[in-house]
Amino acid sequence: MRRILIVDDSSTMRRMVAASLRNLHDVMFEEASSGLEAIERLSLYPASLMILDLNMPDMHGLDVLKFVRAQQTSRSLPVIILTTRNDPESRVAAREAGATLYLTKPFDPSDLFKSADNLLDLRQ
Amino acid sequence: MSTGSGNLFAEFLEDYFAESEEHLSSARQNLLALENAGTAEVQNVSITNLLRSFHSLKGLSAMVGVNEITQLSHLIEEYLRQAQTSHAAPNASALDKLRKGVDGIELVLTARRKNAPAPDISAILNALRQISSPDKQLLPKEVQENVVESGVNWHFSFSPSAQLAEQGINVNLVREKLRQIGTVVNASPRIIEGTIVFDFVVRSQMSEAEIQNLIPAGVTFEASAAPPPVQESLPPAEDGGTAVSSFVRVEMSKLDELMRLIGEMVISRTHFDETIRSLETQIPQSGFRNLQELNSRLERQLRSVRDAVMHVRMVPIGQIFERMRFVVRGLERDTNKRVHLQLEGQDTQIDKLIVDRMLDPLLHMVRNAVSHGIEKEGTIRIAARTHGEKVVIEVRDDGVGVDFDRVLAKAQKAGLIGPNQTVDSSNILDVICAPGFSTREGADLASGRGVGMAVVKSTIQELGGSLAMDTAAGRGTVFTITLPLTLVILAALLVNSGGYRYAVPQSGVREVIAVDVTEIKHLERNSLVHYRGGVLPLIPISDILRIDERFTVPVPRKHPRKHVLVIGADAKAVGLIVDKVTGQREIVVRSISDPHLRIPGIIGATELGDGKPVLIVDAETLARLDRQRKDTRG
Repeated sequence: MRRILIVDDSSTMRRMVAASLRNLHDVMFEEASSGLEAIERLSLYPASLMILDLNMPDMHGLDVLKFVRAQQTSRSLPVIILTTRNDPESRVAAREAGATLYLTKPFDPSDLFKSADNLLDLRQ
Repeated sequence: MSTGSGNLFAEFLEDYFAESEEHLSSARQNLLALENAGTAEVQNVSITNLLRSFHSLKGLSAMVGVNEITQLSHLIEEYLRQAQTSHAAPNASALDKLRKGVDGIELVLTARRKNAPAPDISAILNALRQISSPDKQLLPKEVQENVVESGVNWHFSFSPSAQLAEQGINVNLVREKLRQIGTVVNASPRIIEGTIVFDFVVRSQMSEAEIQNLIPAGVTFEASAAPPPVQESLPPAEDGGTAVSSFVRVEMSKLDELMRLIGEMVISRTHFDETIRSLETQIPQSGFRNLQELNSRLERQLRSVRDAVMHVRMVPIGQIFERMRFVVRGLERDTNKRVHLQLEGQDTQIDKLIVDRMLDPLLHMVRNAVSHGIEKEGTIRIAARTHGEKVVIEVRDDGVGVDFDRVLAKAQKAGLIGPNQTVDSSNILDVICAPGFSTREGADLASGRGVGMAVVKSTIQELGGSLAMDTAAGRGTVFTITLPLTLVILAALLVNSGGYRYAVPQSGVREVIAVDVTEIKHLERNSLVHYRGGVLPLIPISDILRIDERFTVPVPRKHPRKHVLVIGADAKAVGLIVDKVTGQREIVVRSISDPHLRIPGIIGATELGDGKPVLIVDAETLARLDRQRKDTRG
């Protein structure tokens, strides 16, 4: 069973992401509503893929990403940034922090599905 | 907005409306706070909150294709971002326009809800465009930068664990609690020796005792930048230690009643859970998901209530340890022996009932150690520690050890074992715990009183615990008592075997593996399976409970796979074989109080929500019983 961690402060958005990915086989979803919770979840239950929002309370998504990349256990975890920010600066910053993919909201569910499917396959 | 996702996300419209309402109501509050902002800090916090609300609204609205709200939120967000970067407060005219923006969003939402055409928002959009173009309507900062809220900075640390998470204690809960305590100034994770620790700096006007009352388990705190506490090794006083005036005396029976009521609630919630599940195909998906979410919230809250009550019932075991000092001093006088008593882990918390019931057994074991173990001078060490959901108490002496020959002679004389049987390390404990066994002629001063190891053992078993012993000639004896922390609720695996259902407490199960029946090798009377490079002896659960085959349901050939619960570690591991592990849940333990129904290996019974009783089996005892039976068969 592959675990997908969905990090977004909006519960509706988390469900939309999960709904887009529900046809992936052999996956389960784990949710976090803040950056801190994402780090907690990852430390307790290792994931195969993380989908990460940028604008969140307490800890910005980029800081979460940097922290995750600094850990031995999650150094190579595929991370899809999923954000409303669409400016070049945010994209560059995300890439430098170690994002695997950068998708913007509103997202096309089939794009997200394909990206997640590919990343999970690459990891196996 | 054409996202190509309209259809998929249409099912989320209700969620979207609900979450949007939350953002709007939070935005109104923050606009009000901004208007009355006295300090730069309040202003910054309000703007940050507003930004988050409108940012989320923008993203969500784009997802469900509500363009009007996407546009409105976008302009408001643009304006707020400038305000944030320039540290400027919005003036009255800007605030007015922001409020109009909020009203506009509300209008669009209401129309959408009624499937009515969207209202004309062009005037509001224009007004917002005026302020969102750079540096127009912003006032230079006129609030005082240096007004600092009063209060003290406290440093909180929280290290998450799976165990805490299961109890609902996670970083989100901790942060919520800290917000009640004061203003969270900073929150960040760090790694210490491979584990995550979250650090929070919180400015608060509360006293240390008040904070102590609010923080959840697993959180430590100290005044920030204060010198380190002198008594760092002491655990924090969890029961509010020093403030005597804040104690309330409660009769135990009232707490028992409370616990019983919570047990009833757990059963009701189980019924609720089953009912929701059975409705999955009958109600709309979004409604079903809401129900499920409510259900799991209810479960978490119920668990918190239960933990809170359990916590009230728990007392440090040191209460009875201290009694041992007097007993040992008395024994020293009576026997002319020198005994050094070492106590450890007095702060270990355990249910009050268990503490009370364990007093006599512990006294007896200490007396035994003095009269049978220690010769002239020696040490008795009593130590308690928490181990998962259990408390382990060790009573260790460095005396002569148990004399097997004498035990054998005594047991034969008392007719407890046959003349050809022997006593060795595998059955010694059962022999000395047999009713009617005593190695002294008559009761002497120290070990007498007629309690006997038989009563010690049965008391521990009644409490759902177990007793083990290890002894070595000339080096001493150690009794290990394992007790549950509390008596009422257990996490258990539900299994099916031969058409019967059983609940197996999870704490005794190391692992569950699936085996194909063809993989099982049969050697003489034993069944074995390969496991981690070795072999694992298998015991059918129905076999141990001696259920006649005529009353069991054979497994259909179509399902050749069975589940095996691995009990114990290394060479002592055995596998309890069942047809299927069907689930995992928390069960309420109902004790079986009828003395005629006392069956070793059966802890009690529970109800899983369908009104039928299910036996709770103690896997560890079952495994031990099986070993004994094989031994006695030769």
